[in-house]
Amino acid sequence: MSANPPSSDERDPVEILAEEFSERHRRGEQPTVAEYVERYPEHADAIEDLFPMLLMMEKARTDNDSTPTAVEPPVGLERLGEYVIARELGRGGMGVVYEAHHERLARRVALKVLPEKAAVMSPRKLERFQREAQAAARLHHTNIVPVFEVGCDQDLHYYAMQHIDGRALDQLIIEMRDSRRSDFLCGTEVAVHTQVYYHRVAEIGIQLAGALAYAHAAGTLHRDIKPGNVLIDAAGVAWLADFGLAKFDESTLDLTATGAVLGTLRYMSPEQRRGEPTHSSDIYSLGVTLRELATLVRVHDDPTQAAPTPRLPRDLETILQKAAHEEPTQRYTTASALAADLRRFQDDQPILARRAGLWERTRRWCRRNPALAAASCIAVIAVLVAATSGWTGYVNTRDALHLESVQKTAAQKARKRAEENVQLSLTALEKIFDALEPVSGEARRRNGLGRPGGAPGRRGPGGRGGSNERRGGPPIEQEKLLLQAILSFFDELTRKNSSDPALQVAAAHAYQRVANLQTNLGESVAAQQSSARAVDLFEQLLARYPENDAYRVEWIEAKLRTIATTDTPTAIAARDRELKHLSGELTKLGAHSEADLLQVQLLISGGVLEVARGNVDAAEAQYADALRRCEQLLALRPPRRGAIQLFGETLRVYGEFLREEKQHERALDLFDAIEFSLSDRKAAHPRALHARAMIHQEKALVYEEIGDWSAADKARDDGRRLLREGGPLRPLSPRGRPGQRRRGPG
Amino acid sequence: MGKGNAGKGNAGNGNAGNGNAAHDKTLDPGQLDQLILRARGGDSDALGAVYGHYRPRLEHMVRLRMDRRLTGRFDASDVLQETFLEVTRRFPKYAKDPQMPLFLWLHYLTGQRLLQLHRQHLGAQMRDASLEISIDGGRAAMAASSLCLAEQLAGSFTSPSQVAIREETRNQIEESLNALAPIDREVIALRHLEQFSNDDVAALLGLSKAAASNRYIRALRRMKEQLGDLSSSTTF
Repeated sequence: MSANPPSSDERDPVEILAEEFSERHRRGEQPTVAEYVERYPEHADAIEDLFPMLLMMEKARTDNDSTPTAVEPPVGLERLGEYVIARELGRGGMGVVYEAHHERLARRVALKVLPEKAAVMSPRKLERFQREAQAAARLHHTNIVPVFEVGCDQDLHYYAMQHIDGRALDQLIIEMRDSRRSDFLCGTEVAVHTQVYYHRVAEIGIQLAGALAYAHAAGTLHRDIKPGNVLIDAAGVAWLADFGLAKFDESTLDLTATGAVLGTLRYMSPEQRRGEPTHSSDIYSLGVTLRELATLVRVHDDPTQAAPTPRLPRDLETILQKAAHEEPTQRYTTASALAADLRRFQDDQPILARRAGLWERTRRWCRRNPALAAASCIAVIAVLVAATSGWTGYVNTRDALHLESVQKTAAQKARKRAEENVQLSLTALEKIFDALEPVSGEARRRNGLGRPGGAPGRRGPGGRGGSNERRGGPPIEQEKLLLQAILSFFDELTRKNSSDPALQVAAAHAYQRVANLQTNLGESVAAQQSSARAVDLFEQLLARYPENDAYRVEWIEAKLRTIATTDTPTAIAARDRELKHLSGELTKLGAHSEADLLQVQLLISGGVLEVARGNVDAAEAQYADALRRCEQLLALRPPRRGAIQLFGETLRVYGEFLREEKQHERALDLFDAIEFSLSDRKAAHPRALHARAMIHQEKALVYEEIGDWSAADKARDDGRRLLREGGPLRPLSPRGRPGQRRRGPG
Repeated sequence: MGKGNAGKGNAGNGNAGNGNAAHDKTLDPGQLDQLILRARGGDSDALGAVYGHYRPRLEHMVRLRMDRRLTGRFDASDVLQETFLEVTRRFPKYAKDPQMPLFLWLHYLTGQRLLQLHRQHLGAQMRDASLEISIDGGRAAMAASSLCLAEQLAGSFTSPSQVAIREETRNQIEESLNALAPIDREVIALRHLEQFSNDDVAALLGLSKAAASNRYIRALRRMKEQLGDLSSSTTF
């Protein structure tokens, strides 16, 4: 461009002048083409050529703007058709409503004037309006406001309805919310949110649903049920107004109608919002209306901003949920079915509506979260079925946050809630773990303490690893699936929350516990994979928080479990390197309280490694060291958390080692010595009792191997007795869980 | 009826600026800012009132672009109502990080809704009529149709004495607009019939300010060529 004016941003200079010219014209000035030609001679040609068109177009616009189609009835309106106007009842976006009298019939009516000039209403719309009004006029029902007449006078369309002496429900709801009294609604002094109040709500619902059922049978939809269209008269009768006519209240040009439109949207079913009003969408709107009446909380577009909702009677809640279900097929099929269920609630009969079951809720959740669902729908369902609570709330809240970033405080509140939900879910998961652990513990328990008089050889043909044979069958398969599901869930959870350390830790713990359970079920490969996930997470956490010893502890623990059990020379070399590395990491912990436990685990792993290398003496030295340290930990007051499990683990590995080495006598001596020191010190402590029970269990195994059956039986009996005395052994936490059983559970 | 029949005095819906219906279309800037602020806070009534404030301009926008073949199936208020649903849905996100001024955003959403409706109901005919223009990296917009524009522009010739020539004038204007590329036609509509500034037009169409400016002048020249004596013979 030539001759750019300053700060033109490369705009055409004539265009800049044209903009100014047009704007001046819009401000009511009278700029002339000649004036511009004179002021900007360098652009004279272009201005002469083009500016007349600017004038033309600006003039065209103002001409067109001056033909409004919306209308306000004159304030001093005295008559309309055969009606004498008494007074104005209301005026707003929906047009004007008058109280009026029919001259000859001396009938008092409410006269509603449409906010659109008759002259500009399209014939199509006029025809529709008249047809709907006729349909409404044919409805005769105790709970429907009768329409008497539709007419047009003084360029105004209007319709006349029976005048109801009463109150509109929207106003009543506001009053009741503020006063906490429902005296008008109930006809007597009643506080809101009482039994009487809810029964009254049901009564109103029954009347309105009855009206709706009648109209539907007559082929008429209401299309706009909302509190503002429900009137309660002095006798307490509920009236439904504006059947099929509400939509004509909105003028195409009436800006104030938008508020009303929005108000209506709140009560509109999803399909109606898409332009498909049906019987079912009327039922939906009624459900939402009744819910608002029952709770006195307005349905809000943004759930995170909503006021807390009072807890409704469960059955009423269920009924209203069903009526206002997002999915039309899940709603009452007819308004009379809704009325009937409301009556059952009133009469304290069992209602027919069912709360959405877990399965249904899950299905819906999957539909609402297709991406996530596609990733792990089956898995999540399995977890949901087991966990029964928590997830949905969390995921919804999180998604809501993701989709609509609400105000910061609201977001924080919602986030807090989401976290609480996660916590709830994790607690639920704890329960699954707790439920699973005894079962799968049973699966791994070699010649379990609960199996008196077990015969030798029950360790199965596989010798060492025969854990599954005893339980066998589907239950284990289900457990495996469930564990897989849990894994998938946490995979998803961590993927989507990679920046949230608390969640990462929770997930890592869950992986660890899953690994424990998988080990118990004999799925050692899967267990290692689960542990590897935990290792991954802790490594990520350590990268971000290198000083965090708690993460380091857990990382070492998880890492220990992932160390391969294969005994090929390269694998052994790798194990050696890893153990040395972990040993180094362990020294970084210094006097950390968990360091001792980890040291024991390292010793056990080291012993196992030495066995694989064939260094029997070195192995035994490590086991003995481990056992000694366990004893010390058990001797602490209070005994170190997790020490008992670690002790049992050490004992088992050590015992197994000795049996493999055919050192039966030494094994029995060793066990007796340990038991003596334990019983000597704190005999009554449950942990000591548990420890001694474990020793007897190990002794029984030795006796069985050397064929001393009666001694074996006695050892088992002693073990059971000690176990009973000690009380239940608490399920293992992810922390303090001993190292992996790399020699297999058997 | 509702509240009115129930004997309530004023049946306003609680919206600020809701008082006296159609004539009082505009809120003063202070009111508007207040309402926008409340809307950002999640007040849906305030959002409704803000939308109401802009509604006449949006309606005008729709009228300029709605294909004749669709009238009878919907009218402008249908489009605006559906748009408002979308506005409600998207507003929280918009409020968090407004990429364009509010009215431009509303205008944009209205255009998108209109485009969807046209695509849905006209399908292939739509492209024939060159109602669809592509803007800014893959986005599409609904262009004002020549016919609608011509109707609007011909309005200025509609005085009782000119009724006879109105139809002919309209045809001429329509022809001149047809000679424009759809995007240039859109620029004209935005600049004059919707009173947008050059910068607004640039933002709406995803053009640089310079490009919007040049297109506008080019479109004016092209129109001028087509209209020929028509405009010169008309006194303003």
